[in-house]
Amino acid sequence: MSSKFGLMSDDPETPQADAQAALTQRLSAFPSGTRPSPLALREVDAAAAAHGFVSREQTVNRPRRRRIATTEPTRHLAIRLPESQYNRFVSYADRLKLTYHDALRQLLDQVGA
Amino acid sequence: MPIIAMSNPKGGAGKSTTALLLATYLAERGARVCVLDADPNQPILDWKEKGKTASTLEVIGGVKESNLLAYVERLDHQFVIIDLEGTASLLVSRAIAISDFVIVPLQASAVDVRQAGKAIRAIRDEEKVVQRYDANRRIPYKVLLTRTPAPGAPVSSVQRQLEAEITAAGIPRFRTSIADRLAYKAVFVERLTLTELKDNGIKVGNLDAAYRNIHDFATELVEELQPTPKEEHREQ
Repeated sequence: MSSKFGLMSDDPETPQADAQAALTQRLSAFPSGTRPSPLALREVDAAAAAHGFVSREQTVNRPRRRRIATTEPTRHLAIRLPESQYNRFVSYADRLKLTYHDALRQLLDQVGA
Repeated sequence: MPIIAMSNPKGGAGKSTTALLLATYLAERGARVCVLDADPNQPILDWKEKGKTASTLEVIGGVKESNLLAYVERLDHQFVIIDLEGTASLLVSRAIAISDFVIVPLQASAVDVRQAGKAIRAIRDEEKVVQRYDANRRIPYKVLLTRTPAPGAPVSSVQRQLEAEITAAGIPRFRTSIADRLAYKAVFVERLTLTELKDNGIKVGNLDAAYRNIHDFATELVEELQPTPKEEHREQ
């Protein structure tokens, strides 16, 4: 609708263009870069599991491992490591049907440690 | 860098459509935007790789629960949009936990709404978990009605009931809804942005109205987001 009294812009695109420019200006205030908040993965997964959110990634049927008895005293070793490395190590042990400690021993033997 | 997740365990709720329209619009307005395509069908990666769009939008496919965090840590964009799969999975819940805003798209159908309710309850519980580590951390969310009738067209009684129930339940929702428009389908068919459809003379529905719809939605969303950077990420 054209303006009869000069109160409206003759350009029908102007209001939209103004709104777009305002949005562009606001967007420029957002910095680049990743700054997610701290995440407790295990607890988040547990909270979600209560609502039916479960892993959908294909899980490998773990082959039965042969447990080798040892006469030595044993010690407990807990390792916190990235999930990708965890998956890599477990896959290695599964593939060779080794217990975790046998897999670790084999790897140490290979590097002569 | 706001991380925005699109979540509804129900497939076909409008997650990918909304993610692509929003991402391409923000990119067109000058923002550096990346979409993490975590939908197994990879619709947005397909749009980007097989099409001829000139959009600056970046798309990363093959996102899984085991590599999501690694991808996010490497990104250097102003906005990251995670298009999630239509299932209740750990990938979805982890994406929600790292997000600065969760959009819960839903159509006016009982199945969509019930599944959306599952996502909303998960968001609320995950917020409590992340607040143990950062008391100020919030995971804000809003439901977004999708495939609604275009303005002026009759609204179904189901949609009216849904809107009333959302209000009564105190669930936050966007004032803007994403209308059911041919132009949005054409974006995926032609693998172009809305603007590129118009520039290429592709006549499909009311492109101007579709463009205004996405502008209104993007503006409303950006008003919800804070440009202030947050603390460094550390997995615990």
